[in-house]
Amino acid sequence: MLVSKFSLFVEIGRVVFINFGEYRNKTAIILEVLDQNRILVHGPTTGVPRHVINLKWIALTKLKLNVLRGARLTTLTNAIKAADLDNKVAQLRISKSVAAVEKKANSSDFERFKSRIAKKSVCINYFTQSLITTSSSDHQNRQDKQQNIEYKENSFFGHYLTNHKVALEVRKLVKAANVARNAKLQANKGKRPANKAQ
Amino acid sequence: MPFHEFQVVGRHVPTEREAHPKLFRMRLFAKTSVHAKSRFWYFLSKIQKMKKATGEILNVTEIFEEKPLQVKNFGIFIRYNSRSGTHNIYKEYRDTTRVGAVAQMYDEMASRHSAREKTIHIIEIKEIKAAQARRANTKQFHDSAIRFPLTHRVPRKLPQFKSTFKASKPKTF
Repeated sequence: MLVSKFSLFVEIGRVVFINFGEYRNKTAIILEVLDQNRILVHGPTTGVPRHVINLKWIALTKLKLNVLRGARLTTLTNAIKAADLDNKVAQLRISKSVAAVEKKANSSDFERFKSRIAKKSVCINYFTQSLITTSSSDHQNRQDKQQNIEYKENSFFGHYLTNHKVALEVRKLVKAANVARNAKLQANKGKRPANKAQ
Repeated sequence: MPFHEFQVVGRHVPTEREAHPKLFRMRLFAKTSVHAKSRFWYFLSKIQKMKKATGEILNVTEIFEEKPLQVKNFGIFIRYNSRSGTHNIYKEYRDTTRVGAVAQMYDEMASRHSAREKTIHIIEIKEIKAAQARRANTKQFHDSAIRFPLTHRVPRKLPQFKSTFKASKPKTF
């Protein structure tokens, strides 16, 4: 049996993502196929009017709505509501990425500043936590420090204010880690590696 | 520039011999009303002893599609001059408007038959029912359960995101 490697098809009711032209980054539903290049689409809830669009301007999505060929506005809107299509569309990977790009483009200077700080603090946390788990032998001490970091993590802006403290902490931990490493090396100095000992 | 459909009404100028000359009405496809009027005289002079100098145009109106969002089948009878002679042919198109079908026809005649717009005369254009369609290319889309994949996908990009060289191979399917 011949198995097609294609999983998405142009068909009546297929939800398409428009990636070019006036209605870029919006979704619509296929209502009719004119020929192999052109389709009639409509997106009443997404602000796409009923119009003919070239297949080169769209991308097919995995969603499909149960409508008949050339469905009218009311039927289409009811079908969209019944299928909860708008929520499903919002869950699509491409919709999420478009939303993220839009959010970033519309963000204010202060929001961008906050996100930059948040990014930095995530890096620092990751670094300090990995150091704690590898270097500190004192279990209680480790837990205390972790709690301390979690507390700081709760507020991105607050974290920025204590940034220099974190840096200091990191410095101490790095020093401690190096001391521990050197001590271990010193202790193992005369010994042969276990697998080579005959 | 898109095509428009015009209705042109004209007549011979009233004379002493004929105070109330016969009116002639023609539906034409042209890009501008000026071109429509020109074609009106061209076609009328072929069937009537009349020309621009002896006639007058009373009215030019653009005709719009009644249901421009409904997909229809159009059958077009045309007469055109090829390099070797004159031919009458019939063609079918699927479109939402008459002007859309005519535009498709002019494009196809130019590409397949090297026929210029000037040498093509539209004899008749009519909306046809699905059962009356003759061409296989039209009939294959008369299927409410139509289903086909899109092969070789090259996504359209905005000019600012276009690049001549890319580090990764494009994925076209």
